[in-house]
Amino acid sequence: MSTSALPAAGDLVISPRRAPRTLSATARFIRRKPLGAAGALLLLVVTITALFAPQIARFNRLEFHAADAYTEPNRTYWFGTDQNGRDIFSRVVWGARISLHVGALTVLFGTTFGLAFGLVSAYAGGKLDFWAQRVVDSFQAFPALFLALALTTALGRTITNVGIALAVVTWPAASRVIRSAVLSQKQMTYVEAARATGAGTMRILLRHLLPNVMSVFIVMATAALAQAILVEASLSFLGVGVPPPEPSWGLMLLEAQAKAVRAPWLAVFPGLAITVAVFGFNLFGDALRDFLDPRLRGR
Amino acid sequence: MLSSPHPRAGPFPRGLAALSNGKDKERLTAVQRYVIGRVLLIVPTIIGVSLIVFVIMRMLPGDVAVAALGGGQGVSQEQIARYREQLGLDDPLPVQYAEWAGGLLRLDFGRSLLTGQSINEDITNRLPVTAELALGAILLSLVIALPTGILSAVYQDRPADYLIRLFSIAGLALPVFWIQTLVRNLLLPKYFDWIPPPGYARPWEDFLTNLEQMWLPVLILGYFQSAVISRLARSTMLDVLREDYIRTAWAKGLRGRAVIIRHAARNALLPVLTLAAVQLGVLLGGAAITESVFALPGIGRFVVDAINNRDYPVVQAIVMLVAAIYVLLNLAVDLLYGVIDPRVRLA
Amino acid sequence: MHEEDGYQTRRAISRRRALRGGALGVAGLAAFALACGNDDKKEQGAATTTGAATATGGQAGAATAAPSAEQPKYGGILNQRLPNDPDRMDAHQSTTYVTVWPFAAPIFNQLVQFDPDKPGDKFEDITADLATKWEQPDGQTVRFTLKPGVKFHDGGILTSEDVKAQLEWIITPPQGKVSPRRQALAAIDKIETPDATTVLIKLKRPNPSLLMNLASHYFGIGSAKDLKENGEIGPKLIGTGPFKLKAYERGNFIELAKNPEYHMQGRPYLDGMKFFMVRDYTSALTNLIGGQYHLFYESVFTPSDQERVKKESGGKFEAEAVPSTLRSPVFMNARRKPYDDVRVRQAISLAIDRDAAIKVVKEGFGRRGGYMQPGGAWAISEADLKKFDGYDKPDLTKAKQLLQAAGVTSLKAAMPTRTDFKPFAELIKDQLAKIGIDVTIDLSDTATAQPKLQNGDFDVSAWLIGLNVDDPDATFAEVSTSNAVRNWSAVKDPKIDELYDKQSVITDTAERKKAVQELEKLALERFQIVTAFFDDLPFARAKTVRNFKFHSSLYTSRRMESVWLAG
Repeated sequence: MSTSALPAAGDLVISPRRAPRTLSATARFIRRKPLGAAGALLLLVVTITALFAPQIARFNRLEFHAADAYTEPNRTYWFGTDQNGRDIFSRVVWGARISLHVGALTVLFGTTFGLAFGLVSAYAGGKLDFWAQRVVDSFQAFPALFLALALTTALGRTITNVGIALAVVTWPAASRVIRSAVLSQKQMTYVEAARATGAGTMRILLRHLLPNVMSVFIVMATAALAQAILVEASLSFLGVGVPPPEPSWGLMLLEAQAKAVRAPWLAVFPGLAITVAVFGFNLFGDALRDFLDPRLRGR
Repeated sequence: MLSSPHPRAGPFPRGLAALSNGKDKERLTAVQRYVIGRVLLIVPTIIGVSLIVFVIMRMLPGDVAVAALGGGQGVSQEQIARYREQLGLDDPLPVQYAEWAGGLLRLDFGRSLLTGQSINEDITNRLPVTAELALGAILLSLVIALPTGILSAVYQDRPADYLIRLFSIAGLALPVFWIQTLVRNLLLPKYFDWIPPPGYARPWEDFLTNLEQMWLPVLILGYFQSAVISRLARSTMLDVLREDYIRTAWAKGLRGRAVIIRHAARNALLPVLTLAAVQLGVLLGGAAITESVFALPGIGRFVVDAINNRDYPVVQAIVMLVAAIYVLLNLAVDLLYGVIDPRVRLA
Repeated sequence: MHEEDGYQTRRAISRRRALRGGALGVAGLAAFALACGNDDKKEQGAATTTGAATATGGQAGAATAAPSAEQPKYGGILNQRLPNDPDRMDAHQSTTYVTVWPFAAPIFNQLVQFDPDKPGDKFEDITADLATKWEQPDGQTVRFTLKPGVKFHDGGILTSEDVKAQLEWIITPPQGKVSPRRQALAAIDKIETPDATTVLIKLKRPNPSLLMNLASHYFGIGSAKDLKENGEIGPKLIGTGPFKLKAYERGNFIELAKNPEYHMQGRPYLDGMKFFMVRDYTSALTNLIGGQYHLFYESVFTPSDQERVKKESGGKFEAEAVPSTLRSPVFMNARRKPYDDVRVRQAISLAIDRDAAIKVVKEGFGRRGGYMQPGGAWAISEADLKKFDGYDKPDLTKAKQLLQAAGVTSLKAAMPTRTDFKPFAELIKDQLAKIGIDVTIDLSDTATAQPKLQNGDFDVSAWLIGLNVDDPDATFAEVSTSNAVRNWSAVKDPKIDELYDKQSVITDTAERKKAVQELEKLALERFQIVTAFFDDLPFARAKTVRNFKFHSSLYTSRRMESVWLAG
């Protein structure tokens, strides 16, 4: 299922390093990871679309043009119209914004909470770590789709609540990965050194450990964004995704599904949009992980 | 997603390897202690899951009485209130939890609030359907993922690698229900004049019909699963290929294929199998959409409907069941890890 | 293809059965002209050209001259699709057709029924079922004479005690059971059983609607013994009907088998029926085109989908849409300002373009209406209906003026509704935006959305209401009177209650109709609800299905005792 789109934890054990200089690093990234660069380009397109949705969209995404229902793609309606005569192009464009919105909430609440949870749990160790990990265990054992579904049903169907539900599904795995990264950092000499110089817990956590697991966080966040788009689509299929009439790609696909034969363009464009976006996130995330992994850099 | 994905995580694998060698008596007791400890870890996890599901179900607005009666004409509020009372939904929450947990300990999941049907009976009928789907998909995904993952690693950053990765990332990027409905409802009927036969036939009753109904959902789910697994296979394979002993093997002039198959692939296999076991647990709880599209009477769609109907006992029962299977699969993987870890034996 | 084989076998069987059936000399067969023989292809051809008319063969014992030239065939399994499992097995506790089709209609008989041949389900279409005769010695007594010797599936003989036990169960269900339609029998004072085949129903007041209700499949009669032993007719389903429950696999299928001892000689024709639970509409449609079902219904089965089915199945199916009691109204919460002002509700009515609504939401499968089923026995004429604001054409200028007069400049409205009503809700949002009402749609499942309306926790809501019969009592007690179960708008008017009580006891149909129309006009004038349209129920039928008519209600004419499969 789409809920398993996160990279496995084992891929992500990363050593400390200095931040590479941005420009030359970018150039090296493009040279070494062309697929990743292509992914980044796709992401850029999606992000720009989302940011400038009001300018790019050709019509009001919600407006009915009853006379133009089921228009095939043409010069006026580039991607055609749906049963209400709404412009699919404009809806797909706004869908980018909604997808990124949900994804951003997932990262903000989920991956970030996972980061904090994993960081503290690993650093504190002992009983706190033990019981914190049992909480993570419980959430991981809980079937993710049911959890997200029950939560959106409980909280009500809004974009924010879908984001929160996805975050609750996302954070345990994120915290696990972060925790194992922190554990490996914790033993490093630089942490010992910091402690020896009398740095407080907060300082060690924020100034020393956090920057060194940021790369793990970025990779996790990329994966979470991709996952959020797909799980939102699944939730829409089951009737609890982003609230209509706002055009989430998942919802558009669901609406199109019953009309796939009558009006194939309804299914094609949002489906492509999802695929392109998630493809981009994954290509980019993969390349980023390889690139940031010092063991791979020498090759 | 993985509790101990890495071969070198924790003291345990080496310990159990020692057990299998039977050399060291003192460490045996340490191993025993570890095994017991690991098994006991299940308890707080399961209690945690039961609390989460219980609380979330009570957070849901509305109630089963409305869901049960709400669809039709002429249902008054008094009738709904009365029905609610009859179902015992007005007891204090701790009492409800205690009663339910007591039932769980006796492996009695209770009855559906909506239909009055025994949930144990429903599980007996439905779990095998989802299990068949999930097992089939996982097995198929391994068949796809192992060769592609290994090839991808061996030919890292060359065209073959790119092709394979595009193929597997596509599996991550395509919305599952979209592909399922396109293949089942457009592609196959239109161009191959084929649709699956109606009604789900149990494999032990009518194997051929079952096969005809299951091959497609298994194939599609298997492909999507293979995407996840293939990527892990690639990255663990890359790790292994960089290990000294592999370099030594290369240096010693062993031919490429022999090295890859005899040494590297075998060592890369473990994390992959771990992931497969875990994904099996995930699929058991995540096949609701596939079950909808292919009209399979499994547990996934059953829970989705039960959530909509506020049928608490059903949701709680199946969540507990799937969680328990997931936890046990993890346990089994952890315990088996050391036994078959060839790297430990090499050392 | 897999399904083809099934049809081949069925054909072979039905030929054999047809011969046996002929030898039996079934009563009523004389009504049919001689069949044209065993040439299946020829039969199918005939069906194609005559279309729906082929299926109007005579009913059991009906003396009508049947236009069909075919002789009924025995055998075959009739396949249908259900979107999900019935919520329970006892239809008396259920409120959905999903329970009625497999578990009520084919397994039980009612006292009376609507003539399966007359799709309108009007009062005068009520015909015999378990009762061969019913008469009213006075305005407050109804006497039913039962058909003697009717056998239950467990071998017991049906008596007046069974009828009494079942009706009393519905009026006062035992502890732990719900009876959602007890209100329909509220006028019953007591039930007497002077002998085994006579049931006397004493009423508190004249109640012409009683028979209308008793004729729907929701009022099937179970055995007193079963009710006493199990508290409901639930899992055992011991009825008197033409089919018996054979197998039920939850989430998978329901299988019914012929009852060889059915009390109507020579019926049923079918060997059985099978219902497949298929949630996903798109998959179900694919299965239909592939020939897996004989009959098909789904509320979102649009004209374009119907065309697709006809075309892609290679002409094996015909499709139609039947006017129904299903309506899509907008509730406006008069407990809240400004919806307590009739001008605001009137403005909302004026903003809604009924034609556009029918076109967009139903692709044309709908019609204008007020309270009673348009074109049915009771409704006011379309010309009269159009006199009410909005029921003719939208008038945005007037709507805005009305809002202004009511002191409303800009308005934000919260609209909780059910997920499955989304297309209608989206349309209402779009249309109300044109008069400056900004609607926020809040979609959720029944368990969440319905309590919000019941508790008055909404501004406006686009909803859908189905009634099992086109009956004035049922309709106005549902949405219009002060204590109507779904007077969610809370627009209450003592005048409406008065007129309701008045029409409810008029036994003369013509006179009652006048009173009902007066009531409907008054209710429309108050803009209690704004009805956007009435649904036409969309169906498809394999051309091999004979002697079956789609009715305007999903709760009638589903027993299938006289239905048979050709070819």
